[in-house]
Amino acid sequence: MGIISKLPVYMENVPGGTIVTTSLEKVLNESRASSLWYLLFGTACCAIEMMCAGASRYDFDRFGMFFRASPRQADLMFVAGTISHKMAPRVKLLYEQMAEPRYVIAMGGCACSGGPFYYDSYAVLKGVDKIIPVDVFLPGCPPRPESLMEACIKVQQKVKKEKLQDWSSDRRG
Amino acid sequence: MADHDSILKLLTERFPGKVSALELTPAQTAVSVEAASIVELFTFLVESADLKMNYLSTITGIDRTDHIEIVYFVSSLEHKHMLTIKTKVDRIGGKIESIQHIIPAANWFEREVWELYGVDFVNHPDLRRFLLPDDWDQGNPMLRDWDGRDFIRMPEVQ
Ligand code: SF4
Repeated sequence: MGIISKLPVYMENVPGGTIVTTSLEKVLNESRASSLWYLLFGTACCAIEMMCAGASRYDFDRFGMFFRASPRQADLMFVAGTISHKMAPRVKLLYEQMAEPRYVIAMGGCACSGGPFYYDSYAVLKGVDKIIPVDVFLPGCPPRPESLMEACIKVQQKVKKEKLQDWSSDRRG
Repeated sequence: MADHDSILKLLTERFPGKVSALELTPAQTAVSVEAASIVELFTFLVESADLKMNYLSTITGIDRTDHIEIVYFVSSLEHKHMLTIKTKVDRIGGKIESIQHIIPAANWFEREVWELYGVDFVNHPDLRRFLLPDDWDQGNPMLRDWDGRDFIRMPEVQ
């Protein structure tokens, strides 16, 4: 009954107690938000914090978040680290291989804007939002696991607010 | 193990006028050499029984604005000594003989210096794009006056 107590507004307890009605959208969104599987995509130092967030001390598993090594099984991509111009087409390809609806967290200064490599660098892409849409920007060099968690909670909030017709990324505003 | 002074003495006596000793840090034995003598010098370094410089750590370049300096770091695994070799080439259209046939490890380092600094390694068997993106068309990015798409130079700090 855990989930039912979380959905008081959308759920009606029909007398007798064996049948409940709610909106499909709410149930689907609640389940999606509680099972955001993420693509491991670490290219530099930020990846260490991401691994730390996934390991036992911070324990992403309790949010229902498990890492996936394949973009086909992932809902969420952490771009954790410096993206070079040579890497950029691969990031884009991996993003396109993910099934919709898909979400991206740009983790760290490098993924947000080029970070410490903003000036005087011929090799570093100045922000991953130049090639793929980003849902949450998470600054820091590197951000602590707690901040990554907050970014994930932001994504969860976004997921919960979505309408069914927004699932395709063409329609997402 | 040959010490600092004996390596320098050996090399300056063997190549008079072409090799000269450099003072860098006390821990670093360094010589400068004319670009034209680089193959001769490396052949000697590898073959001489006293030196046996058989391990090339890296080759790198420095843009000194009026010339390009190429720096070789070699050491001997057997005698446990190191040597830094510096040489100068022209900034535009610089050329130097490849040492790939003496030390095969030089292959990739020379490709790297070639694409980042535009120095031509003569007789290199396979001088092609190495680390930059495959469709790179913006010249040699490690030159100090280089400019490219998306490149933002650090503003002067007052
Ligand atoms: S933002 Fe900082 S910690 Fe993160 S990848 Fe860039 S340099 Fe490394």
